[in-house]
Amino acid sequence: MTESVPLTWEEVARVYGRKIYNFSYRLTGNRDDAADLVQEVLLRVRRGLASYQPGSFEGWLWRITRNAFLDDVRKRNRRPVAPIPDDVERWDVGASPGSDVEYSRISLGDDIQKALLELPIEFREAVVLCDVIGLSYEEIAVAVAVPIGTVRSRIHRGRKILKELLT
Amino acid sequence: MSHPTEMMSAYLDGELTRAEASQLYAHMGTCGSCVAEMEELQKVRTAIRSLPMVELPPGLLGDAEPTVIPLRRNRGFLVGAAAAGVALVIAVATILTPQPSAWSVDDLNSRFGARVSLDPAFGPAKVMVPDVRDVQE
Repeated sequence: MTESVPLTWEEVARVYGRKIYNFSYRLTGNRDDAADLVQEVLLRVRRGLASYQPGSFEGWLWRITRNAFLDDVRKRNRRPVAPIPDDVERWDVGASPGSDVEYSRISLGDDIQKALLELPIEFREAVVLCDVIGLSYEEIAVAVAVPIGTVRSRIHRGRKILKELLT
Repeated sequence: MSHPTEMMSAYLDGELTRAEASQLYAHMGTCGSCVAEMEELQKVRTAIRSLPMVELPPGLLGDAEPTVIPLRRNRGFLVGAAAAGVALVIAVATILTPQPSAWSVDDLNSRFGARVSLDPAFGPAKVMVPDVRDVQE
């Protein structure tokens, strides 16, 4: 993406502040932690804008955001980073439950939020960047610094686990 | 038979190449379980995307906010100034308009006749027009 780059960190804050907060909130499930993350991200943006190279601004911004989140997780050691399972089948949830499954519970945001927090962080951030923030796979790949194929796999596996947790 | 399940989420996100989409279509044409799987994935995806965007706590953006706040103040000032101007015009018009010393029947008829005539039960013929012959007798 080659969109125009906001010139100042204040503009970044005004344009992206709410999205950064929502990304942080969906990853942490805690509003105070999310608020702390927003301030940390804006601080890093303020430092980094001077050396920003034109390219995918969204990818750059979200890489800063997810790195701030991961740093925070490591620092606080609240929730150890769950490793991505090597064996995909470990996370396979068996046959589809069928079209008559009631998804009424899914409409409850609290249940979805709880289920998101059950995901390994790598899956969670991919799903949130895709479904909450609305990034393309290419932008997510830049943000997370992995190939697009990995993004595709993480989003799919994350949704499959969510499906199991919500039914 | 291997199921191209990883393609399903990418398909829902519009991230498949044309060739991959053709491959997925061909498989789903013969695989009922993959059709059901796709439906379930779509429901989950829709549910996640239905999460509401939460609002920022007030003051969180710090120095980035003052450029926004004065606009609200300016808007409030303009609304207040406009209201004061309207009040001033009404006050001046009230002072300058001559007030009748007493209401006459014609005054009432001219001011309320049209409104009264809308309701047949209170038409101006009953209320406003006296029977002159009865009065003379």
